[in-house]
Amino acid sequence: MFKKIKLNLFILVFSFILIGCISDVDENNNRNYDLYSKIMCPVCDGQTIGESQASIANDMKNIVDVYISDGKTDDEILKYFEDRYGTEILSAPPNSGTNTIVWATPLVLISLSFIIFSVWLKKSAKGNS
Amino acid sequence: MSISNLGLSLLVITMNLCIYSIIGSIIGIRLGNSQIKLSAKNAAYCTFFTTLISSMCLIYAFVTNDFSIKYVFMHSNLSMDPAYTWVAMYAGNEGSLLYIALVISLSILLVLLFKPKDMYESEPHLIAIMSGFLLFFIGVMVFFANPFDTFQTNIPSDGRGMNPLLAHPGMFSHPPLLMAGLATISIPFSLITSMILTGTFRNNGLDFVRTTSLIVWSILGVGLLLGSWWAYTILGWGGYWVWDPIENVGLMPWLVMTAFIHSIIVQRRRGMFRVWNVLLIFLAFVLAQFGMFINRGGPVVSVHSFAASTLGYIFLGFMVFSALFCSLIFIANYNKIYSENKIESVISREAAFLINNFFLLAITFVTLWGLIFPLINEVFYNETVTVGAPYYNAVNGPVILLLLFIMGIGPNLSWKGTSNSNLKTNLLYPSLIAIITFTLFFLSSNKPIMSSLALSSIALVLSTIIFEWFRGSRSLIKNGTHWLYAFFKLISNNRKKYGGYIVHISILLIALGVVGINFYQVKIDKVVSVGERIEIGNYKIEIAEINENNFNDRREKVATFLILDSNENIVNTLEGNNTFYPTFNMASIRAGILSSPIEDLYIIPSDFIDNDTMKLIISINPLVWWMWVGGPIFILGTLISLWPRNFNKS
Amino acid sequence: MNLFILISISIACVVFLIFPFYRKTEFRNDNQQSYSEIRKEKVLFELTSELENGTITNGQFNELKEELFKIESIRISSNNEEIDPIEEIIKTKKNQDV
Repeated sequence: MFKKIKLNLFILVFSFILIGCISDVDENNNRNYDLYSKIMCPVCDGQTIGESQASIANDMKNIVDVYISDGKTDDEILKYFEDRYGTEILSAPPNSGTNTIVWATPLVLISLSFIIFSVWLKKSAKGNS
Repeated sequence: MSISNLGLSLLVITMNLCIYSIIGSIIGIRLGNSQIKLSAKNAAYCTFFTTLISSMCLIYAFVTNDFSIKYVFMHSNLSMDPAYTWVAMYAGNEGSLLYIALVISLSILLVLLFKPKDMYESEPHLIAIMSGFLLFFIGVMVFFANPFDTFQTNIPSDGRGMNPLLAHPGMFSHPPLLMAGLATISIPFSLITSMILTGTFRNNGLDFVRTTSLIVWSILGVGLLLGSWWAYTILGWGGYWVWDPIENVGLMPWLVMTAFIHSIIVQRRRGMFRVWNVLLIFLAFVLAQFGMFINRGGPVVSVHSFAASTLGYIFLGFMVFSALFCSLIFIANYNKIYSENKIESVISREAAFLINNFFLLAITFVTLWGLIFPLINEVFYNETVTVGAPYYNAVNGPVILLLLFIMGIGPNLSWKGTSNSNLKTNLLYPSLIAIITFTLFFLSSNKPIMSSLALSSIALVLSTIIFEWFRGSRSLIKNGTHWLYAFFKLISNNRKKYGGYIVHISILLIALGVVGINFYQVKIDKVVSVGERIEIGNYKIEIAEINENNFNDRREKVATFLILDSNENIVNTLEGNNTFYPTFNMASIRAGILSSPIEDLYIIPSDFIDNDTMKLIISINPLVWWMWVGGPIFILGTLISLWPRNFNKS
Repeated sequence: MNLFILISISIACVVFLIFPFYRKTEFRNDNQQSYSEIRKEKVLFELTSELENGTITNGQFNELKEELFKIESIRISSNNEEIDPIEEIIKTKKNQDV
């Protein structure tokens, strides 16, 4: 029994650490490339400007470089592109408005089903011992 | 009679053979007449040969440059390397359908030949289902996407040529393996369905299902890995996995199949999880059909789908049909598949397998959700969004990490519950090693905590496997066996288990590469001219020259780089090129890569500004080499685990 | 040439399809017998691997072998194929004591 509690505690702590680190997953050593991978190329099918070699993508990369050296923040730069091209220019939807759904659904569903699953698992284990 | 007519006639014959074998099997089952059943089986055999000859017609047309056939005109031209004419058959929509049909008919043939003889009860059902699946593809070709369609007048003298992204050696492996993988998921699916329908879902059949699933799963896995290898080394995208929709639809069935081949072990060992396994294989099949649908002009933008195809609705319809078919079979036969599911302990191997399944399905769900969310958003809120790599990395990353963690814990647990002392001896050293790894990396680097967690999980899994190996062979060594011999003896005694561990090691190597490139990559971006020098990491790079070559279908700019050591000696020369194809208005880039087990030096000539200046993206990608080593080890592990046991031994 | 290929393939297919109707032998019962043999072999093999893994004891091995062979012989005569009794028995035996 003691062992079980320990294991559960361990899993709990582990998941908290994980949730805590979701926020800094994309922290890279290079801001430019971070931003390149967050902006889609408007004329290509499903490529970011970082991946695409189209001339408009190169122009957009230059804009990003210039804005970074101007001292603008990431949000300001992304906002600039979002205002001009619409939300679809961002490679992942922002966590605001209706787009919250895309982020919240997996989190809610996975944790909810994990709770149901572990309750079932315990009940099944208890019923047998 | 022209070659195109022959090809089409053979397709029509195949179609009739399929219909015959379906109807024949059904009548045979109803009447209990073995002659009709056998005749239907023969028809199923025949479909392979007719499809094969029909495919040969198309290949022949490519090799002989028969531009009267529209498909050949679209995907080949006279200047194309003759080697590619042999594989250009699956470069486009119609031909790839023919290729898939060929794979399916071949799998029918092989399954019927290698199926255990005592699975005779479910054979007619199996034939009917597999022929039905084949019939769909043949029917689509005959009625909607005829690869042998010809120009009636004005036969062109030269073709348009193949999509330049495909004109690479990667073309020989990645697309055909991926398509074959998606198509052959139908094998374990039909086997299980037919066994359910006849009420013969039991162990001997299960072994064959396991064998076929492992083969299908490894084909799909190798296809996916080759795709990332192709993207990384040949296409010069700088990345190995971009969560592109087409990659995702291949990944999802693979994940579900991974769950399936794990939980099928539990059914084999403990007779549990029958319902669950059936659900998994049905899900994998429906997801494979979803993949076919997205491939054929589904509503999702991707860098490489068969964009011009209008077959979307037909494939959508087929996907819905297969989903309904599966649900119907499942509901109607629930009593036959139901089995007692009682887990004895939460800390048992079975429970670990279930948790592994849970995380695999969670990743599948996130991937599917990211894929369809843009559609939902557009329909309900009339707003277009893109769900790309940052989303998947953020949401799937932690789940993948948890899965890796379970991979380290699971093998330490025993069936039906683990005693505390067992748990202690098994987990003590691996978890110590994991904690040490974590502390070391966490304290020594300024990288996100994710990277240290991932590395410590990798250490956990690896040390678990090594200790398990050590414990297993210790008893043999005690008896005086040489340790090397004991090591191989151990593997050959329990091929399934140790084959599985070898596959786990290959997954670890891939994970190592992923961690390396995601967290430890160094990247610079610079405009340079010939003669200039760049320093990055321990490398000194000199731009030696830029050459331009003109061909009739492409303009190629080749940059040569010299890699110097600290004493100014040239240690290596790299070449990168940027090729432009005017007909397609498409550029294809080949990166220069200096690969070593520690790190890759990766130079992309992204843009040539004028004759001697260009824009370079240079990166150092640590540990990526291991990712590609993971591929052969993955295949090796699968083979070991598939290798049949020696019957004579007992 | 192409026409010739088409015609010969068609003929080959048709011959292959009608061939079973000309073979009048009743092979169903024969097959049952040989399948049973194969199954016996498999069961033995199965049990041996269980024995090697240590999931069953030597006594259980012999006991199960007897029992399963008996079931196989009943199966041939009765032709009742509802659920597989062999798996059931192995399962219950395995769960009895480990």
